[in-house]
Amino acid sequence: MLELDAKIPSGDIRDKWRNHLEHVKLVGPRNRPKYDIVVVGTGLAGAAAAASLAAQGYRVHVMCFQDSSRRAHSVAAQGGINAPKNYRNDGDGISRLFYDTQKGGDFRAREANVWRLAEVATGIIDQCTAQGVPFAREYGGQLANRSFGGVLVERTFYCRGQTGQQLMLGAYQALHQQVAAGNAIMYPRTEMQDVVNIDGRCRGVVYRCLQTGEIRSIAADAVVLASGGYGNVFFQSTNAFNCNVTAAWRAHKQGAGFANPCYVQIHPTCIPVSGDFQCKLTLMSESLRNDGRVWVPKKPGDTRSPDQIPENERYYYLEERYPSFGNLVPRDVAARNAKYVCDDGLGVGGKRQVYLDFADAIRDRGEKVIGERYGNLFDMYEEITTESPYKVPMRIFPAVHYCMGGLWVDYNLMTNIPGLYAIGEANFSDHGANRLGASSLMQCLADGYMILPQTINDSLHDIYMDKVTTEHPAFAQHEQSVREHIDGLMARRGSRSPMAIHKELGEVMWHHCGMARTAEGLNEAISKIDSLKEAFEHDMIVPGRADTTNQALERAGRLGDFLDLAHLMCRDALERDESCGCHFREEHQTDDGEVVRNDDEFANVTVWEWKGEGSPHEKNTETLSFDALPLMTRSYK
Amino acid sequence: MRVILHVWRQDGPDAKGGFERHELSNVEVDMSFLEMLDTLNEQLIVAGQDPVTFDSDCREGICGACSCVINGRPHGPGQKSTTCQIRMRAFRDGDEIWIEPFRSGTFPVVKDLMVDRTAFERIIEAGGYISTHSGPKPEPNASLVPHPIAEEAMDAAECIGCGACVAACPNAAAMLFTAAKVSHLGLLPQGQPERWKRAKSMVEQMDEEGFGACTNYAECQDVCPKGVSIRFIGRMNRDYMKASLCEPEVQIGPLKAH
Amino acid sequence: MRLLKFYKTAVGKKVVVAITGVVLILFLIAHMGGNLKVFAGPGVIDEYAMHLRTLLEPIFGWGGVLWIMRAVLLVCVLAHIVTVALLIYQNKRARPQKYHRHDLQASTLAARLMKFSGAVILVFIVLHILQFTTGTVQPAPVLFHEEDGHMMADVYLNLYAAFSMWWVSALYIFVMACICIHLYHGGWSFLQTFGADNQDRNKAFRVWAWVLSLGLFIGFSSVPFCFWTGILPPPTISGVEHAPASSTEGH
Repeated sequence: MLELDAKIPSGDIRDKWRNHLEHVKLVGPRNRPKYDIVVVGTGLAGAAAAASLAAQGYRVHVMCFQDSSRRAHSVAAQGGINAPKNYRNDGDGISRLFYDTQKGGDFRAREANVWRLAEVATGIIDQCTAQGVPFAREYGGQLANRSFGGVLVERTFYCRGQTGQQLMLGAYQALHQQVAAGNAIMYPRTEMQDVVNIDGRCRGVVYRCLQTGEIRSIAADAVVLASGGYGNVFFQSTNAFNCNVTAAWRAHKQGAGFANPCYVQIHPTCIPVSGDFQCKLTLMSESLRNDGRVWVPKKPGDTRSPDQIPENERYYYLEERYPSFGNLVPRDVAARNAKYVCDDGLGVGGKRQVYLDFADAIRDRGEKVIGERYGNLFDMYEEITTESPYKVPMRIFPAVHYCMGGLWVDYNLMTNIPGLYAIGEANFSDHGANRLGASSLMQCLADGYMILPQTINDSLHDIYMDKVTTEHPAFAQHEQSVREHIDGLMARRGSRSPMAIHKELGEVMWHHCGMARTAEGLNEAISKIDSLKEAFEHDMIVPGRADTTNQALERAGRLGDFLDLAHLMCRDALERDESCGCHFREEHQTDDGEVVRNDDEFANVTVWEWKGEGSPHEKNTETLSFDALPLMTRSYK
Repeated sequence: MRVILHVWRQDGPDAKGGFERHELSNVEVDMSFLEMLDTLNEQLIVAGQDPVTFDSDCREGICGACSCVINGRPHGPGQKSTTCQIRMRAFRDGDEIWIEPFRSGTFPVVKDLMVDRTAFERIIEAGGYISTHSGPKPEPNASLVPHPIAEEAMDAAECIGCGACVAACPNAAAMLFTAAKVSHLGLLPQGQPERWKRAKSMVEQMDEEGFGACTNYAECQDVCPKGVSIRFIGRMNRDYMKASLCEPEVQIGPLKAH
Repeated sequence: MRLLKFYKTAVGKKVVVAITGVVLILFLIAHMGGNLKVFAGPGVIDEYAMHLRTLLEPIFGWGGVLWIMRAVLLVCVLAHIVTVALLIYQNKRARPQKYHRHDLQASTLAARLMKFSGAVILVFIVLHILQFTTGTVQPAPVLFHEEDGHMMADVYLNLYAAFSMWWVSALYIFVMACICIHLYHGGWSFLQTFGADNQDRNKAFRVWAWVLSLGLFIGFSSVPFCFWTGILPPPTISGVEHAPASSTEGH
């Protein structure tokens, strides 16, 4: 059994974070350089945390598999970042953001964390502006806002369609300022292979240099995993080509609990798949639903071009079914409804796709205004599909986008292994069973700038006294096992490439563990995954050498972890015998296809414990309490 | 469709490289250029051969990882696009396609088409930031930024650091990259305190790394996936002149190039 | 010290190239103005040559201003060339391995031909001085006369003598074309280097570069063209004392 103490501070939810900060143990500025902290991953969370910790004076070792820390996939976030600044005077505030996030997550998140997130969010905008992030401004020079799904206020700050990129650059620059100052050390083109626990505390990592294949270690006093989500288990997703679960999974294998792996967000507005060569799906920002109207032809298999279909033969299914939120329902709802209309054969041109139409917006506001708002997205769409959204409606379909599940962490963002932290998308955190748009940037930066730099001291304050170095035999041991693992992969001389197996895994996951899941389908998926694991072990080929750049080897290593994870995801989805947020079990739905939760049994977090290769995971739970916002059925009607 | 590829293969930074010819017959027009290379690699892997190494990550034109020169043009045939955004419909059946790495002394080849762009990192480290700690900051609306200034800063900030500007420049200069960052931060009120030091240190670092000099060919802005304009180069020059000749001198040496 | 540090960077060198370039452009404009005086008749240009030498004579002496101008020009030309050479060296080192195929697309032909046109102009400057200033290189005999105790070349006469030969004129016009394309890029480029460029002005600057380069081309080429085609009349040589053709003393 895992020891799962969430360490939620006592007191009223409004005071918890402040009280907690007053009681966190501190490390003095003169002692901070004596501590080594490893940060794995340089997305928003990782770069922000590394920059903040290095600025405090800690010695920070930062690794990423990309050639530069600026390339982490946070750059791809288009739409914006939420903060309850209430600049629009439309009734926003901390409690409103808390309410929206909790409700959006379908009451499967830890209340105290969500409140804290809402509380620190306004500070993120201040922080980023001070760093020089060029947020959109109004003509008077004040910050501009727009609206996102699942909420009734305008609280989203943005930089054109590149908000993630700009926030990323802010964090990247802050980090490299620290690299120049000598407080942070970069390890680019490096992949974490294992964490090293000594006497019950995480004391370092083993990594592989992707350029030379060398296996090396870093001894540290704390390790922070900011390695992102595992959406690529579906092969086709909006994640970057190289996003992977390896860092989190290897930590899991060393004892860190993995929470809610089945919570995967399917984003409603992506460019539909065009061929089986595709490994990457392109997201079209949720902000498009501010002005775009989603519809399908009422007649199944209608092959007329969209402008030939009169208004009364169009089914604006989101507007009709959810009058108060309309096209801006949360992502899970929008995605699920797209699936329903396509299941009913109403998909555009008989295919699995729906229209996102800007004709009305262009008529009302003019092409120029719409172009200013979404020009770059329209161009991107046209480049891929050769159709101009100014002239014909976009065709979209849902695709895997974000993972709410991840490593279990307590209120301090520490996993159940002392000294091992998980932040950003890598932890299970604050989004419950569904994340609202523009909240991931908010959470990553909250973790990185605001929370972790203040909570990490708590476990650090006196451990520099017994400094561990890489001379410790545990490091040699872990390095050896990593080498053996890699040699094992290199020895495979079967007939199938890692990518081919991965592709097949993705298909299994999409069909059985995607937008809708059934007990039967999940059981089938588990057995298919097991046979894919067989293929991985015995019929895969890894060419080339291990002592140089070898992308096939990297892919093979990541695939092994995805296969294990996929198995666990299906099991988690199977055992969570309810529907909630994006986890939709067909057995549990209302007559009109809405989710039906089972709060009596499942108002909790499922935390899985690794029991060794070949043994089934052990299930643990953390019970969630709902004091500030009582459980209710969520409705966007 | 069918294409004939001439792909640059090079084992390591010091190894001698050369072109390798491959024919691919199962190319679809909707494929992205990198998916076409994936297809080639799948064939090579199954045949037990070493696949072509190339950088790519987001595959939607924003991370700046992909980096080939295709038929003599960085990021291939297209305006404002990265290699990953190029579709095979830009080529014709039977076309011969030459694929080379970005070539610059400052971007040594890691393997095949993959290059090392850490020189950019050091240019940023020389001053491409606004010094801040994390923590409470002033209210952003307390310092107003006029819309046109914010937009101009954003135009410069769009740079994704891919290095195509260096690859396209006949002189392998990094002026556009550096100018974009100097201008992005130098335009905003937050960036003023360090404006002159930044311009000076970043320009000096550029030379320290061994990039070439700008002769205003304007090839860089033509291949820039984000359309960053060379007017920022002029702006940087101006800032640099002022910083070097008029502003009080700041003692900060360049970082060591590797 | 600060200037030296400034010059050490590529941007600093570019600025030096731009400033010296501007000085040379101003010189060319003035030079062209002088040349165009041939159209006002043989006497006028010779008078102008005289003026150049007697300008501020009480302070600087005979030809003093001219020598100052020559010194400034020489410094500019040398600085321009040396700096460009340093930059070319830096650029060559920046890309040790060439592309198999590198398609330049956005740059103008003028920009790509800068090194070539610059080299042609350099050779020309040397020959030009040797021909018309010192009279060392003589496609046609150069004639001098004495005035106020100083040897003066007969400007109109010498121009006529040289440009009546078709190949001298053709060569001269070819070089003017090189100057034209050199300045089409240079005239825009120095504004860009100084950071005067922005998206609103860019078009205007391009127009300026056209006007500058074509204007100088037409202005300079009109003289040989008109002598060659006979539009300009042959000189009247009455009342002029002829110095020996081999004399190298000239100003």
